[in-house]
Parts: sequence; structure tokens; C-alpha cells
Amino acid sequence: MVTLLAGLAASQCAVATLAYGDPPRAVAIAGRRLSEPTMTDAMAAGAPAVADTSVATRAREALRALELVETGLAVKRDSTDITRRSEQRRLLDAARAVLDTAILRVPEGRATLAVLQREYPGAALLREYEAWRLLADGNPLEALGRFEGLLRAQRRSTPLLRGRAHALDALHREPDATDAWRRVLDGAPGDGDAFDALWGRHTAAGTLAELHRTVIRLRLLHPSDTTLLGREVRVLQALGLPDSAAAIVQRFQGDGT
Amino acid sequence: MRRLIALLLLLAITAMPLGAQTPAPRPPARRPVVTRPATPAPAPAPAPTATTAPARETSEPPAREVARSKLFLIARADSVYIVIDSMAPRGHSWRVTRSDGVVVAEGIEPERSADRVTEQLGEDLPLARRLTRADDAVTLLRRLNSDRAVSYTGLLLSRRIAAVTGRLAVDGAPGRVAGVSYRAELVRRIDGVVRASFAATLRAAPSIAAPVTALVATPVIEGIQLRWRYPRYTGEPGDVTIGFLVERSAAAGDGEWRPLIADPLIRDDSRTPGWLDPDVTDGAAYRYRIVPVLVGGFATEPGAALAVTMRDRLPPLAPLDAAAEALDGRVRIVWSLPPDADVDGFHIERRKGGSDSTWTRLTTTRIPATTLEYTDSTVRGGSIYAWHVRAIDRAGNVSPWNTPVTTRADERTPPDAPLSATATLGAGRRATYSWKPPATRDVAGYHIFRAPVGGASVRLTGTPVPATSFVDSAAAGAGLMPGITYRVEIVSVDSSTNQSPATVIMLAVPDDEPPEPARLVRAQGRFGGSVTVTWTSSTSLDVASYDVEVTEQGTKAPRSIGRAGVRGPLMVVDTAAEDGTALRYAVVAVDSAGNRSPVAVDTLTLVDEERPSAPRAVWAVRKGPLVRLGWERVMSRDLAGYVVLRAASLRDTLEEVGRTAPGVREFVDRAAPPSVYYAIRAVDTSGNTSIPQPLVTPVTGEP
Repeated sequence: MVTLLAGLAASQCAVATLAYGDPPRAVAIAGRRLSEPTMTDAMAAGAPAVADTSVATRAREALRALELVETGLAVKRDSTDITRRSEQRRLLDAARAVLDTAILRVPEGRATLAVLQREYPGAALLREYEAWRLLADGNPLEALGRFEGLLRAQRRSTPLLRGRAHALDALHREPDATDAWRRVLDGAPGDGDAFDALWGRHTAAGTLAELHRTVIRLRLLHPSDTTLLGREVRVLQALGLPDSAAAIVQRFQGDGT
Repeated sequence: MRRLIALLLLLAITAMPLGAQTPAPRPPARRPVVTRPATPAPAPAPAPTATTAPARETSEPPAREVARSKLFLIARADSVYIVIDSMAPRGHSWRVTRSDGVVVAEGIEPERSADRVTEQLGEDLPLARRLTRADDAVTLLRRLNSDRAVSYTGLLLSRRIAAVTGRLAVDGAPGRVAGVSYRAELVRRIDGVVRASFAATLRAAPSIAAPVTALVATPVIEGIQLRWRYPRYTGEPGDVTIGFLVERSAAAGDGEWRPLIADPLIRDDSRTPGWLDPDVTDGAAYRYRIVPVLVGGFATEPGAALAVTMRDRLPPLAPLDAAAEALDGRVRIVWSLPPDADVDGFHIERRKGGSDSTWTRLTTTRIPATTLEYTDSTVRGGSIYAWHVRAIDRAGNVSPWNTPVTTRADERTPPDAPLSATATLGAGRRATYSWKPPATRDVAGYHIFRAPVGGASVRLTGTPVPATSFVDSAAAGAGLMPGITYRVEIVSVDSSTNQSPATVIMLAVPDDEPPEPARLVRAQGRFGGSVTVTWTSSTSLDVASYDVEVTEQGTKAPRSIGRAGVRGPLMVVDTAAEDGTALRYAVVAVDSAGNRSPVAVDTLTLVDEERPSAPRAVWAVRKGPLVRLGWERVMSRDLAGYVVLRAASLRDTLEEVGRTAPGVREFVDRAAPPSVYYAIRAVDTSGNTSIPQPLVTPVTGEP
């Protein structure tokens, strides 16, 4: 049985045409053929409908802002207009906060995500949210596949690496999960989740010395990151080396940093 | 046909799955795809399954769309689906009859009841909703029946939509279907007049699609890329393939075929059909097959399966961050773990100095992926090095080298001391020091220090000498000081200027060189007294004493008159000097080794230079031509006598007229001129005469 979903086809069309660098045409095609999505799909899939339309509206606006900002950032990346870039960054953060709430933290987030994906089929960010949503819905295996698929194109993306690590955690694939958290920590040494995850594993395995070496290595790589100093103190104390920990604290205070 | 082409075109544009594109790199700009050329390609064409023969049966022209309509006949195992590609105009319906005269269906018209439409659409209801953008059944039905583009798209994609829109008839008992014909007649409802009719003949049953050929599966970086070939669209009624489904099964295991995509890839003659399967695992084997999809959404028999094993072609990313820490005699390089999960290890290279130097591999075997650091112990302190790292995955793909990190190596551990040091004294008191290098690897050279025992040390080398011997010519090549014992220290110096403990050699330079002579020798003495000999010291530092000798005239053997130390007054007194004898005093400096310097000489003769007293109470009496002179006695122990001097006037020069013995105090001048003046001088044995006294002129008469 052919189950060509025209809505998805329109999305694919938009994606494909966007890839050719002609968004207006993609929007026109998608809009002309299938235009506005409906809530029925979400309901048919068993998800709660978007009862609160304001949530979807806010998410939609956030996504639009996000795309505009991202486009602006891409265009203005070489710009020296720091104020403008700062404002764009602020908008970006605000938009992501809205999307986090609308998609991941409310029950109707799944339906909202479906709506947004049809409206903005080219938004890679929504594919990432989809993976997170799958994870939140208790489908880590599917989420892992999505994260790994996205990572093929954005291999250094810390959020994707974190998602992959969370998914592996949920699947109880222990060695892979630990390795994934290590990669998260190396990409984002300030990531608290990654450190906590590794802390728990090394503590349980009695291999805190290995974590200590990792922290020292990260401190060499990121000498200005004071978070790592605190973590080293924590590890040293756990290793029963309070004097070494105190020395680090004193140096920290002495530097005035 | 044009409508079909147009809709296929539209579908190709609107329904092209993302996966059919190669995600990256960005393809060149292209126009929207078309599904067939303007003129159908003549060959190769699949065997037609039906033929259409439109015929006008009434003089009243039907609607223009109807005039261009045709039939699609899709024969399945138990039924023949007759799809009419246009909707019956208002007041009309379709009637389908089989070639044997059996009316397959009649009164075919769009569904008018919203209540029944959802039931009829069944599992294609979501598709219909998306096509119509309608949430409720009434709107859905209205749009399906009013929007020709929507309904036509639905017709191609779903036989259920075709049925709802009044364009489907199903012949459930076709009998021998091959060669059977069907005719669709547009019947005006009010009077039963056939306004138009179309016929098509089923050429094959069941309906088949042209097979997919030349299926190729290629592992690429992004996954497995599938490519295949399919005949170009011919425009023939039997060419009813609208797209493809891709199915995959594991080469091992149950082998169950699973569709990779829910939506068919739209047939697109302008490009080679293909699909990228990104959801593959490195090293896993898969089988793929392509399923052509017909009008109405009918899947046909899949093509031949193709097995392929995914090979990882994606190189890992280079470590993003790296840092180098200079430690004592080594450098620790750390880097971040690349995000790729299949990183298996790392290789590291190093170069010394600037960017024009070459990289040298430091690792022969991979550094394990869990070890994100490397300690380079082969550095030389003080030198600047750069390192770069790259990752290797389990498939052997290598990442680019990361951005090099640079640091100056440090060395705080001193090298070992030189071994087996010796000193050899050569001509000109030049010493040659030799030694053997220590086992320490990093030795940039050696420093040599020399000091007289108890004295200050001097470094003889400005920069460390790389050789293992050194010639010490002392200052200005003058050679070492004789008689001095030197302490020579040799130290190893590494490239960080760390110095080893000293290897010590004691070098005694024998003293075989006479000292410089004494200077400014003076012999002074008085007649009848002693002679004092003085001098200033020799310039030689090792003079221990001075010997003083005197050689008297007429003798050959010198007589030692004393020795003076260097710390006392440089003077000796000769109390035995003989008056009137030429004396030659020689001073010889004697060094601590007994070497004697050339003599420094002064000569002296002690002579009497003291005048005797002048005779007093001189008287002269003339008696005729005779003049008698007399004077008092002069007391002098070396008096030799008296000299009588005479002058004719005070202006004339005194002339000696006679001498007397020391005991004679009178003199008679028997030839005295009439005017005459006399002077009496005492003379000693050394010829000294007394000081002149006033002249005396004689008186006449008796004294």
C-alpha cells in the first residue's frame, strides 16, 4: 500500500528546494499544495492535540525568529557589529527557551513539534527536537538513531552528542554511554551532565584517578575555564588528597580569578 | 496525457523525498524536475498493459478535461482496477463496460456523503486530509471534488481517493484478463445520453512495471548510496509507474524486508534514480531491492536484490583542542577526544623550529583512543617544537592533522659530569684537557674553569664547546704560569644551560723559568766605610729571595754579601768593602723553585774625597832673593805633604814651586821674584788639597 504522505512530500519538496537555494519557491510549492497543516495528524498519531494554541503560536514565532537569527548570524558572521550579534544571540537563546518549553516540557509538545515540522520542513533544529522528543517519550532507540543521523552532518554538535549519550544511558549500553559522555565533556568541558555522569561511573568503578587525569587534561586544554578547577578540587577530595585540593583553592584565590 | 505528465511533474517536485538527494555537498542549482520529455521517448517502453481509444459519440462536446481523459487499467491478481483520470462533470456519471458487454460499474460519480467518505478512505484518510488541508470530512469532501489538482494527485496516489472522487471501477471477476478491453462512458444522468467514451485494452495481467535495472549500492561517507536505472516515461497508457519504494533486509538474520521509506520516490527521468540510506552500521551487510509503484499506489514485484556491506568511509574529525605543557626534560601534549564514536587511536608528529622544517612521526603504533595525551621525552630543552595529532578510526580512515601546538621545551635536570678527564702539559706550558662525554643524552657542550689552588676561578669558555678536548694557552697564549698548581673543572652543559657537577683535574705546572731580574740596583758607600746595596723587586711573582754578590776588581770569584727575602727591605750592607777598589755588586732574584734570574749589577769604587785642613799661620820673610816660608802643622792622618804655590801678582795663576814632606813646615824659595805671593796647601795621600787660603806676601827682615 502506497502511503505517500503528501504533507511530508511537501516538506521534502521544501527541503529539496531549499537545498537548491530557492526558499521562496519551496514555500510557494508547499504552501500552494498543502499549505497549512492540521492538528488531525497529531491526533491520529495518538498524541494530545494542541489544546493551547498559544503554545504552538509562541513556538512558531520562536522558530521563525530562530531561523531569521540563524540566517542573520550566518550572513553577519564576519561582521564586527558586536551589538547586533549580541542581540541576535539573545534572540536565539530566547527562541530556544520557548521551543524547549513548547516541545519538550509540555504534554502537547509532540503535536506542536509535528505542526512545526510541517511548517518549517527545512529546519534542522526541529529534527534535533524530534530526537529529544523521542527520548522524552521513552523511545531511546529511535532517538539514538536520530541523534546519530544528525551527528553525521553536525559531528561537533554538543547538544547532539549529549542527546546520544542520554539515549545510550537510557538503553543501558554502558561502555558506549561512558564513551559518549567523554566525548561530550571533551567537546564542552563545562558540561555538568557529562561530568556528573562520568563522576558517577568512575566513583562506582573506583577509577576516580582516571577522571582526575581527564580533568587535568581538560584544564590544559582550557586554562581559563575555572569550572574545571572546582571539579579538580572535587575529584582530589574524593581521592583523599585534601592538601592538593587546598593548594588548588589557594592558587585559585591567589590568582584572584 | 498532458495532465498525467503535469501531475507527475508536480509530484516529482512536491514529493521528492529528502533522502533521494545527496545531502552534501550542495548540488548545483537546477530547475524543478520533469518526469518526461516533451516528446515521449520512442524506446525502450514497457509493455503496455492497456490501450486507450477515446471516441466522440455525441455531437455535444463534453467538457474539455473530459475530452482529454483516458483510462488506467491496473490488473491485480483478482481484480482489474479501472481508473478514469477525470471527474464526471456535474449531471454526469461514468459507466464502465467490459469488452464482453458486461457492465462493470455504472453511475460512478463523486461521493456526496461526508459521513461515508472517511470510511471509504480508510487508511488513506491522513493522505486525503493532507492533500485537502481539511480537518473535517465535509471540507475534505468538498475540496476533493472541487480541486482538480488535489483530486488528480489523490487519484494517482491512492485508489481509495480515486473511488471517493468517482473515478474508479473495479472488475472483480475479469476472467481471462489479457486482451480484455474496458470502455468508460460519460453518461448524462438526466437522459442517459453518452457524452464521451474511452476504451482501453489490457495487454498483460497482472499489471507489471518495467523492471529496475543496474541497481548499484555504493558505500559512501554518508551511508549506502543506491542507484538504479529505469526506462524513460513513454507516454503509453500502460506506462503507469509513478515511483519506487526502497526495501532493505539484513544480509544475516531473518532477512525480513522492511521499507526504508514510507513514500515512494517519484519517478524522474531527468536524473538517475537513487536513494541514500544513511541508517547503516559500519561493517554490517544489507540487501536492497527496489519496488516500482503504479498509479493508484499499487506496489509491484520488486526487482532483484543486491547485497552490500557498509564500509566506513567517513574519516574522523581531527582533535579540536590540543595543548602542550613543557615539563622537565619532556613535553606533555594533550588533545580532546573527537566526537566520532569509532575513533580507534591517534598518531602524533613533531617538528622542530619553524614551519619550514619537516614533520617526524613520533608514534609507530597508534596511541589508544582512551589515551588522549602523549609525553615526548626526546625533546631538547630550550628548543621550540610543534606537534600535531590526527585520529584514526576502526576502519583505518584518518582525520586531517589538527592545528599544531607549539611550545619551548624545558630542562631542569642537569646533565651528568664529563668522564675520564685528563690534562696534558705541552710546549709553551699549554695544557690540553680531554674528557669523555657522559651518558646523558642532552649535552650541548662543556665549560672549562681554571683556578690556581686557593685562587679565584676563571671560566675559559665563552660558550660551551661541543668538543671533548680543550687547549688552554692561558692569557694571550703565554701559557700557564710556571710553578702554579691549577684546579681545572670541566662541566657538561645541556641545551637548557643546565650545568653538571664538575669533573676536577689538578694540574701542576713545573717552574723552570728564571725570574725576572731585580731592578734599580744601587750600591752606595763611603770611603772607609760600608757599602749599602738596594734594589727594587723583580716583576716575577714567585721570587723567594735575592742573592747579592760583589766582585772586587782584580779578583775572579765573587763574594756573597747576603741574601734578602722578598718581604723584608730589599737591601744588604757590605761592611767589607775595600776602599779604592772597583766593586761590582750583582743582585740575583731566586724564585721558589731555585731558578736564578739574570744578574742586576751596579759598580762602585770607594775613594777619599775629603780635603785636609788648610795650613794656618803662614809666614814669609824675604831676605834678599831668598824667601823663607813657614806654617803651622796640619793634623791629618793621610797627610802626604804640603805644596808651595807662588804667583807674581794677585792676578797671576799660582804655580807650584815646591813640596814638602808632612813633617816639614818650612820652605825656602831661593828664586823669589821681587813681587811675589805665596800659598801653602796641604795635600793628602788621595791628592786632595786643602781649601785655598788668602795669599801671603813675604816681609823683609827676620821672621
